[in-house]
Amino acid sequence: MNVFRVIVARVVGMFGKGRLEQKLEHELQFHFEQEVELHVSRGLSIEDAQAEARKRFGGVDRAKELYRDTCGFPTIENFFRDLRYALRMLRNNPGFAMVAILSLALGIGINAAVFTIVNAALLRSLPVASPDRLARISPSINGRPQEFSYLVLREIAERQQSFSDVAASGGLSLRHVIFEGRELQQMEHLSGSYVSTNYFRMLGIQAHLGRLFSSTDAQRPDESAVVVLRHGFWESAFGKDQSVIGRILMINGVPLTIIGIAPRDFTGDQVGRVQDLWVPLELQPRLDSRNLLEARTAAFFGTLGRLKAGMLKSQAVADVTAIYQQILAGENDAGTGTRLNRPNPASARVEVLVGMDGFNPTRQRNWKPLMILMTVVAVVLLIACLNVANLLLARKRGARARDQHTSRARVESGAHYATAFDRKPFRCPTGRSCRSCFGSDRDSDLHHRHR
Amino acid sequence: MAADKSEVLPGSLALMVLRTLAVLGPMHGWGIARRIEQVSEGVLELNQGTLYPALLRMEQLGWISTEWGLSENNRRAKFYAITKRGRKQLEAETENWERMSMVIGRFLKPGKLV
Repeated sequence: MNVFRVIVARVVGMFGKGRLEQKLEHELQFHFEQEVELHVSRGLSIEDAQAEARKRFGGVDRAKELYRDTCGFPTIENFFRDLRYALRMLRNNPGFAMVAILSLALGIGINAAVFTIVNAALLRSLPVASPDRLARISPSINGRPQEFSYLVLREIAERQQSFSDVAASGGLSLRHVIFEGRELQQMEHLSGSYVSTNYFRMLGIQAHLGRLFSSTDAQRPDESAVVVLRHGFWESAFGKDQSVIGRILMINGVPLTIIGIAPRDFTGDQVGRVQDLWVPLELQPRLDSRNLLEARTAAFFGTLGRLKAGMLKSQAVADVTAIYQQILAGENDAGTGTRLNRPNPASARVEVLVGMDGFNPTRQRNWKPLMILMTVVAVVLLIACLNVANLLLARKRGARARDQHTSRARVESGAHYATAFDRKPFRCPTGRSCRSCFGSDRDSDLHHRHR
Repeated sequence: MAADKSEVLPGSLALMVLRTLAVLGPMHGWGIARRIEQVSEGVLELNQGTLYPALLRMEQLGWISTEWGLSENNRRAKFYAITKRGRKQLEAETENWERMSMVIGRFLKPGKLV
């Protein structure tokens, strides 16, 4: 409570400072005259009385300074005063200022730009529940990456023990996207995905509006065809109109009911690859001319899974690889292989890429070049800083005599003693402001010594 | 001369100001300074300049209020008056001070400390 009162009083004091100081002047003047009168009435001469009054009062300036410090926030005010001082000094040396600002701006700008890229390409993870348990399951034969066909994927999903959920997603080629007579595909290039109906549940995300897929959406694909939209797509194409829920979107000539909007920051299961809409994969035969769900040779689904708690990546790899090899062996025996060349089941492996590795495909490819780039621009910033430091050194040699002079002048013209000399040691036009910001030890040392 | 004078102990200035205002009613800064010097009978070395920042601080804390008025010789002066909050503070501080001086007194009384 007390602290609050003092802060309010100080804020008020900070803004009404000129008036307050005038009043203090008046008050002290009154005090001084009263004191002189008192001493005169006791028989001193005017001069002696004035001297006595001054002695009893102590330092007038010291008192005023204390008063000033009490009525505002001295640290904040000092900071702004130093800032003004720094700007003034920069204005006095426009050439120096320009070179320093330009080299620093270049260094910082390049760093910011490159870091933005690095952040987007390497560091971002998916906005889903515990992305570190999320895995991409990708098979390979003889070291060459493959994808599961839908039939194989379903068999693996049923038999595996390592994942609490296995979901599939695959590319949906959009020929026409029409909403109430309006062709949306022309406005912007749209891309969509087929996903299994447990997809959103496995990712652990909730609808922004309406609902996401449930298992019933897969059971009667002919009657209830549904679609979920990306938040950004809903924003740009429908102006965030909430009434689109329940209305019909025609995709490739098939009417789909819009049932929900995905959360704002979810743009698909791969960082940097934006999907605009999601359709249950059971609808694939109706949206495309060829039924990919029953073809053993058609493999276009990416497989995602959520590792069970406590399950290690290596356990998951062993589990799924064994199942895949059994399936391949079975297909070879029955002659219904998904591969024309009947691969040796022993050469098949299933990789499990956990966390960012699996969902940021640009990550592994770009890791090295981006790191090199980041290092290079960091060095550029370092060089820029060195540049400025060099400039300061050069200036210092040239300006020693002049500075000595101006510092003294500053004191004579009434600058705070400590601050006038405080500026001297570095002779950096912006130095003290920077040091005020970062509170360097050197700075506080100086304060103590001079006060 | 300075050797037989005592410095104002920290915290005691506020107590003296509050007590002065509580007993004598609203006063201007010089009057308060005079009063403190009078009461201390020249024992206390009051640096009058330090009084004004202290008054401002007490005003910020809400212990005293200020008003501009006319002095005894018809000059504009700033008058300080004790507030309700100030009286409460005075009460607490007085008690605290008495307790403290009693303890110090006990320490300094020869032979009584066992």
